[in-house]
Amino acid sequence: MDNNIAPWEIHDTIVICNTLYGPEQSANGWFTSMVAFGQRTDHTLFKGRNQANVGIAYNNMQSQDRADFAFHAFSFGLRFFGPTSIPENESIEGAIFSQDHLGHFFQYDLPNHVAVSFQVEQDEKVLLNAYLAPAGYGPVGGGASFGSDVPVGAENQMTWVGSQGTPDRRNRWQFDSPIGIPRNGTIEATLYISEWARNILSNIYGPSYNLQTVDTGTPGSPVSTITRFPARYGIQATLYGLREVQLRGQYHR
Amino acid sequence: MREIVEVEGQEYNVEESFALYDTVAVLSNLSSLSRQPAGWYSSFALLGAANDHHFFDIRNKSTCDRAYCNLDVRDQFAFAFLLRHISVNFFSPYITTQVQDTDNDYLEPFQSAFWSGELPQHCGLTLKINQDEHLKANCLELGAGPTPVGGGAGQGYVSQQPSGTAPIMLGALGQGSSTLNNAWEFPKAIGIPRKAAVSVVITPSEWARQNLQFRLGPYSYTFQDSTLDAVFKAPVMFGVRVTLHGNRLVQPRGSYRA
Repeated sequence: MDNNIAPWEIHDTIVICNTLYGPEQSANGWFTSMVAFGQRTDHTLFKGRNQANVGIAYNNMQSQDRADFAFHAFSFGLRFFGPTSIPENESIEGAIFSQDHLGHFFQYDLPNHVAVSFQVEQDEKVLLNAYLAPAGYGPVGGGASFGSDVPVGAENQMTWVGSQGTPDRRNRWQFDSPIGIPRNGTIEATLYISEWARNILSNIYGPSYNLQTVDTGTPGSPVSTITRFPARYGIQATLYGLREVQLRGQYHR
Repeated sequence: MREIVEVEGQEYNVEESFALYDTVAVLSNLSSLSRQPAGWYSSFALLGAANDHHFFDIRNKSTCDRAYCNLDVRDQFAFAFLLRHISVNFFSPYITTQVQDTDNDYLEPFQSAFWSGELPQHCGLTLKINQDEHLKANCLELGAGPTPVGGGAGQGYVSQQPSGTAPIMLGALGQGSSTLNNAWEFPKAIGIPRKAAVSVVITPSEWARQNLQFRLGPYSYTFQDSTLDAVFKAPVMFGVRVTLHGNRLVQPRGSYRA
């Protein structure tokens, strides 16, 4: 019996955020601080999470460690993401600390210091510097504020919107021949963080908070109050290709 | 598989798209790393003192982190390779305002721009496979592949310049379009046999070497440390990554031969 062929993508994500919500709290390989993230020499994707425990935005696999269906992988990509609102703030006992450039470091410098391997069953298909596996999608743009000339805590705010490589679908690591992944086969992407980068990450504060306004007033009398919301960083791996799907009523193993 | 290369009758290799890369880096805390890769430098002055810089015949993924080199063997190719493209990326810290370790007030905002935007123009590259030279080019001609894109800016605190709260400068620096296709293409793939000696040598001009020798640094990033007790200074890294894009020829499992 023939399977139906359909375009598909498989993705998985490592998230670093000081607050994890609901089932995320038990997600394997997610972190609440850069220190914890930086203390690990390697991080694994497609191996420890599924959509049930982290949500479809971050993972669309039903099985945590096996291919849900036969898949023909055409390309592989990796995206480092972080907040676009910079700086991040932390307030402890009235003192305000500003971590201005963690977002820049994580999204644009760190990929130069990370290697990624992609493995199907027992075979390592590629071992690349992270910049050689651009995701092919992501934001571009930017913005600037004129800002007031005042000290830390009320500084001008900056947005910084960018990606690793031009976000064009074709700008991904293309497999010369499609890689066939059998159903129930194992796939794995592993990130190797260099010692230089781990020395920085394991000593750095964050992720902390971005500023945003909330309404603390009563109905009809809005009051705008500045509050903080956890900044979220992550690394997302994607496989683009074709999946083989059984037609309904055509069950076979 | 789409392409299979017949070798010696029944035996065959499988072509896989692959990239081989190697990196020369400059960082002030080189001596504190657990491994000090050959051909890396702890200052611009030392880098500038060298006449040329070698790739693909001096390091492997055991002697430096895999982010910087993915060679199995230091001075030979571990598998046959069809070389289709070459790219050279002069990467630098995105946070282009860096601070001296000894003086918080001294901010150096121009080194990343020099490294990524100017230095490649003043370096030549030679690609050699066994005894044959296959390419002699200016580094800026070759393309860098993917680099950061996008950006933004903030004005900073004008009245407090030049101090620790002076405006921080950021730069989306690269060489050319930020795509994998931005690489030098050989009109016909160059076949590199297994165990071949391949070398890429980058030779800075006398002007570039003098410039580097008279340049302090590299300096450091400044971040809040993990306890928020102090500012944490982390030495930045400048680097040159040469990438060979193409296809490797891999023996399928079970088809071992010497």
